[in-house]
This record gives sequence, structure tokens and C-alpha cells, in this order.
Amino acid sequence: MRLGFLWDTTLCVDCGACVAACSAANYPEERWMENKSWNWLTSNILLTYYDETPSGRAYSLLTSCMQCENAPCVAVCPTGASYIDADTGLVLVDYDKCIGCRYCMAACPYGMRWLDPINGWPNKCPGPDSLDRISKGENPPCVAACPTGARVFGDLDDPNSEISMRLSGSESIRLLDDKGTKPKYFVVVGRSPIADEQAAELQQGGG
Amino acid sequence: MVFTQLQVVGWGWDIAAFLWLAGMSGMAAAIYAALVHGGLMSDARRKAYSWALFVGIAAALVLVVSDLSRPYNLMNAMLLSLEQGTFGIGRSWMAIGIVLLAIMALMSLALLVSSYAGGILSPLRGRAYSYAMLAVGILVTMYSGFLLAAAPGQPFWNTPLLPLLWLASGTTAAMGLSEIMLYRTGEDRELSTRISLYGAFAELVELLTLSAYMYMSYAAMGVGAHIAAEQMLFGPLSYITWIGVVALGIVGPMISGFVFAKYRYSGYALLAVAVLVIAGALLLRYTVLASSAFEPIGLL
Repeated sequence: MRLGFLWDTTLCVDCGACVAACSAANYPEERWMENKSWNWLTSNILLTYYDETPSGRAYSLLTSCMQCENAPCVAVCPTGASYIDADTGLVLVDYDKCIGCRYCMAACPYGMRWLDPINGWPNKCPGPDSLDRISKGENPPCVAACPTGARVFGDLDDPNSEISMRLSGSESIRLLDDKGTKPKYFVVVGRSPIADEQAAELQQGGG
Repeated sequence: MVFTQLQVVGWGWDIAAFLWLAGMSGMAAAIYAALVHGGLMSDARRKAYSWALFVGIAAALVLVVSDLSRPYNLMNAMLLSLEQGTFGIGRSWMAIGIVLLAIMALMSLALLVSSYAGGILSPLRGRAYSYAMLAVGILVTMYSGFLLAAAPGQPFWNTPLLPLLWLASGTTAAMGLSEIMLYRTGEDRELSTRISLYGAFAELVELLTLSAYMYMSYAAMGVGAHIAAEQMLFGPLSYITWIGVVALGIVGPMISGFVFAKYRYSGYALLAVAVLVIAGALLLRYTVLASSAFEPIGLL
């Protein structure tokens, strides 16, 4: 099993529900604290707005841990606190073994770890509640909260999983692919089948 | 949007000071070995070096442990990782560093004790032990360069020039430290002048390595490295870089070293230059750490 994420830019409306759901579910005690690493909420998902782009077209980007198959954070960890779970392929942290050296934070090309303001460990996706839900076969809160179905989580090895079917019917990219980290966080940038269906329905309804 | 290392990771002055002390102590061990090898190590000098090595490496350890965000879990995590076989000695430069620093601290302590007590510890004053100190000292100086170079999140550091820069800078700082210790243990004009001259050559090597590093970062290592180099050379950190690191920490002392060697010896002037070189090594490490930025991520 290789669990991964998909984020569909053609469906996302930047509502931030995934960001809030992640924070509320995984870090309820830190909900009103500041994530100083990102100047952001205490959430594993970062929403970035790009207003001034070379093309002049504004857009937004949702990023979280890329669940890399060749994860630099795992390679550099001195104690083995960061590891790839053999059953799920997710990058996890054994907090009992974390000394807080923050080498994993420096090593992650995506900067997707943030320092916990209470416990001092480097937080990342999936958070504790998300992991609990995943172990029960449920979707993590960010996926469950998404109103447009822009976020999908599932097994990339299963050709019948929603994530695999959505990926096969759309154009997707992986961020900083040239770093060789083999991320399992796919960004759909075009021809989403769901978006096509919605567009067709609108067209039919609107005449 | 660009995230800086300083904001996300928070390796600032304390880690810079750790790198500085570790580098200076490491290369001071190498100079100690050179002096022992050349038969230039008196009892007073041995005591001065052994104190400097031990205090330097102990202070470095205190700084690096105090920077941990979970220092209270250090012992538990180490024992657990050793018990479960996950300690990353063959994988992580951080783990290699922990081992090297521990060895250096123990060896420095043993040298310090042996410089006061004779008996069974007297062989530690000899050449064989000094060569072992040299090897460990060089590794302690260089490993943190490899540690930074092996962090894919910081493209500014992803260069083999960084361990070499640490080696050159550690050497010049250790030369400065040696000047101070020589002065304190009784002036030896000839040895002081020689160390000053060797220091000037080491500063030349440091300047060339730093120039190559800055050029490569600015011109050829991608967007993240370019942003960082710009920050270091022309941004808010440029005053520290040009005045503290380059002018006062490298070029000024280098010229002084050549001038002193050729024309005139002055103990006070050598001391002043030594202090500048040592301070420059600290500032260099801070600017390299603080300038670093993550590779910008975007879709367009």
C-alpha cells in the first residue's frame, strides 16, 4: 500500500476548510497559537497566494507534507525518529525518539514541517487525529471537510481507488520533482473528470 | 513567497557560535599536533592548548544542546534509538557529529588531565595521541559543513565548497587562537611570526573558497541559492559580510600577516588581528546560516 494525496486546482475554491479542519482535529489545544515557522495557523496545510507571478495570473497553492518515497527528513534524522511506515508508505514521526535538532526541518525541500509551540517537535502531516482516522480506514479531516472534492487521499497502488482513477483521468504534477524526493502529493492542474462533469451539468442546466 | 531558514528552522546565533567553537577547537587540535610534531610544545603551551580545546568543545556542546527544542528528551531518544538500532551513524551527519563531538570532548578532557597529572596518562602528551587529536579535530571542523551541504531544503548550502570553507575558516580562527595563547604563555617572536604567516596563507585560501562559493551560489545553483547569496552579499546581511567577514575577518588580517612576516613584529598588533580573525569566523558562520532560504515553490 502506498498512501498519497491529491489536490485538484481545478476544483479548489480556496475556502481554507482543509486548513481549519486539520488544525481543529489535530491540534485542538494549539488552535489559537501561532505557527511561527510559517507565520500561519497551527495546521499541517499551508495556503499560499501568489499575486504577482511572471505570467501575471494570480493563483493559490495548498501544500503539506509530500509523503516522499525518498524523504530527506527521514535520511537526515539522527535517531530514526522520522521514518517511512512500511505498511502505508506515509512519512511518520516517533516523538519519543525526537530530540528537536530540527535537521528534518532544514532538510525538507518543501519546508513542510513546523515547530510545535508546546512540545517542541517538528509537526507534519498526517497529524495525530488524521493518523488515527487513517488507521480506521477513514479519510483525514482535510479531505472530509473539502466541499468541492478537491482533496483526495488513498492508495496509489490500488488502480480502483479514487485517487488512482482521478489521477489517470487528469493532468497532474509533483512539486519540485527535480529534487528526486518522489513525492506522493499530486497537484492536478488540468482536465479533472469531476470538473468536466460539473461543467457539463452546468451547461445542460443552463441550456 | 520565500521562506528563510532562520524563520522556519531557527538556526541563528547559537548554532553559528556552536559551529564556530567546534571549528576553532577542531583546528586548534590540528595546530597542537603540528607543534607537538615539531617539538615546539612546552608544558605551559600544552596546558594552554588543552584548556582551550576542552573549554571550546564543551562550550560548543552546551550551545548545541541548548538549541534543541526537546533537550530533555536527548538521553531517552539516544538510548531508544540505540536499543532499536535506528541511530543514524551511517546515514545522518547529525548522528556522525554527535559521535565526533563526544569523542573530541573526551579526548580533550583526557589531554587536559594528562597535562597536569603524569603517571599512566603521560603517553597522552606524545605524538601518537596528538595525531589522533588532529584527525578528530579535522573531522569535527568539517562534519558540520557536510551536514549543511546534505540538507536538500537549503540549496545555498548544497555545495562541497562548504566543508572546505569551514576547514579554511576554522584554520584561520585556530591560528588566531594560537597567537593569543602564544602571547599569553610568553612571547616567542619566531613562532608567532610563522603562525601569523601561515595564517595569512590560510586566509588567502579562505578568501578564494568564499569567493568561489558566493559566485557559484549567485550564478549557478538555482533560485533558492541565488536568493540566499543575494541576501548575504547585497541584502540586509551584506554589512556583516563585507565589513565583518571579508574586510576585518579575512583581507585585513591577511595583509597584516604578510606585512608582519616581512617587516616588523608587534605582539599587540598580532593580538588585535587574532581577535578580528576569530570574530570574522563567527560572523561568517552566522551569515551563511541566516542567509539561507528554501527553494520557492510555485505552479507558474
